[in-house]
Amino acid sequence: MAILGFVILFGGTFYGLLKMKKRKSPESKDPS
Amino acid sequence: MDRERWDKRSAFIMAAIGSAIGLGNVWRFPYVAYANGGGAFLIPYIIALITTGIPLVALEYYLGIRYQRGPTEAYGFMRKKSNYIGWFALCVAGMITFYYTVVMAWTWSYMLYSVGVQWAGVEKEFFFRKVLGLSGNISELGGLQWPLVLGNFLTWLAIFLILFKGVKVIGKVVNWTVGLPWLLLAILAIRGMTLNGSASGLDFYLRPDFSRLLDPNVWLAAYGQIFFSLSLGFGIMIAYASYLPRDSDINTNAWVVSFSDSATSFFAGFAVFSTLGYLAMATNQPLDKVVGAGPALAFIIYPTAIAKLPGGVFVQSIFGIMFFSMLLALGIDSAFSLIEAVVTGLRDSFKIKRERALFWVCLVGFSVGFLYTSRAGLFWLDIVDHWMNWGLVIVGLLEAILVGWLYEINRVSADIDSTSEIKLGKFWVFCVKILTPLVLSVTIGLSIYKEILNPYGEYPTWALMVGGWILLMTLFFLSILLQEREYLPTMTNRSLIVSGWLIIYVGTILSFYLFYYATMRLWASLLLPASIVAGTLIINAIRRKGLQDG
Repeated sequence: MAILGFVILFGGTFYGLLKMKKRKSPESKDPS
Repeated sequence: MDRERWDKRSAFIMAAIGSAIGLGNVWRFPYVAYANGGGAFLIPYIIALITTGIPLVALEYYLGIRYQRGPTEAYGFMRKKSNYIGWFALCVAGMITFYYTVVMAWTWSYMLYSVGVQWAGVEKEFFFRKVLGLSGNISELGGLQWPLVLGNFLTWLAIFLILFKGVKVIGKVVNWTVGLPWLLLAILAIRGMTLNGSASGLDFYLRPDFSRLLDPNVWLAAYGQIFFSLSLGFGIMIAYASYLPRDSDINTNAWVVSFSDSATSFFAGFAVFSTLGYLAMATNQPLDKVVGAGPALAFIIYPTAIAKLPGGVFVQSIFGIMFFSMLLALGIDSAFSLIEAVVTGLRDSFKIKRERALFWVCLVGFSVGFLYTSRAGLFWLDIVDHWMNWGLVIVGLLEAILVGWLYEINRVSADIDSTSEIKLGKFWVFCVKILTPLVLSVTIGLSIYKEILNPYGEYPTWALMVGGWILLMTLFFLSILLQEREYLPTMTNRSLIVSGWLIIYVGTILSFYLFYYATMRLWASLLLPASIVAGTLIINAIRRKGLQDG
């Protein structure tokens, strides 16, 4: 279960980070 | 005037993670997991993360991003006369911060006491007698604990200085307040896992008991843990997101923040339980005798383990300083995010300057802290904390009902997906419209049932009423008055309308008293609807008359 927990929770985090990188983020611009 | 903006996306993400990751990740999650099936608890926990955590975080980001306002205004923009949800969220956030900073004051003290491990051998007495100076009962305030007053002042000063210049400074500070705890947690976990007995501790933490999955309480514990850990219901996520541009990616941000919060909780369990395994072995006790949660874990059990670490007083002092520095860093970004939500709400609603709103909130917060730094402080903290948790669940339920049932949820879903890399679609609609209200309603229902069977703590009735029901109801009615303040000045017979509200307010509190503590449940069941109907009739009659006169 420990390995499964690590894989899902840390894997989920890195999956999200990869998706973040994929998108040219508008948040990185400062319109002000 | 242009709205402030985060410097970059990562600054927002780190600030949101810093807000979500707090003391609860270390002192609550590992125990909840252990007590609810060990490794098997990960199954309901991850399901709760995906079905309630991420969808609700995404919803709060949406509110902030879409309306570019803090919680007090965002709910009102979504549906007229819903601002009270935001005001209530902020009232609860304020009340929680007022004692959260005092817990941080305990931490400041313990950092100093770490030099020479001054609690060694007398951990329990040290915490209750020396640090808290705990009095015999809740009505015996017994003067202030001045080191705690100083610690509380330092915490409020830090909050003031960090928030003074706005989100750009927050974005820089969170690199430290998130990075440092991760580093220290890793060091503590590695040290813990290299101690004798750590394997049995980790076995206790993660040994799966799949039969527990049939127990509905385990599932509710998982949903509760996710809800409380992600800073939901405070309006923080709405306030932080209101400083993002309108076309920001909502779902991916929610995904990263929620997963990293849960991953941190899971990892914290390794640091905690490996050390508890060592403590059990060193004191020759079974593990279930040394396990604990909350302040007892942080200020009694873990310090006991630190005092028994091999390497002598110097090494123990270093680990003490590291542990309490980690707690301070974990707590400070949660505390200032709560106050940032309040300040953003006040600025947006009253059109006042950040500095002014911040100064008054900090001053009030520090002043209320005198109660919690008194010798009866722990008793009051315990009662208020119990009822404020109810407040959070009420906000979560109200926001899910507002978006799910009183607004065009499909439009919101399409809006969210249109700017997001990860699409949630109908799944999000189901989670927000059906699942979340269901889970939160059951949670509230079960809490009320438990309260009926067994009133909280062994406190006198007047204290439970003052620190519990009266405080909670006062915050709720204050929220409604703050919402109605825009309409009241234009109405004739304002005092009669306020009287209508007062009838409902007093009737509700009296009903709770009769129901819970005087066991006159029949009278309570009659009084509650009677006062609500009477108050509402008066308010509506005056309003109609006002409209006709107008």
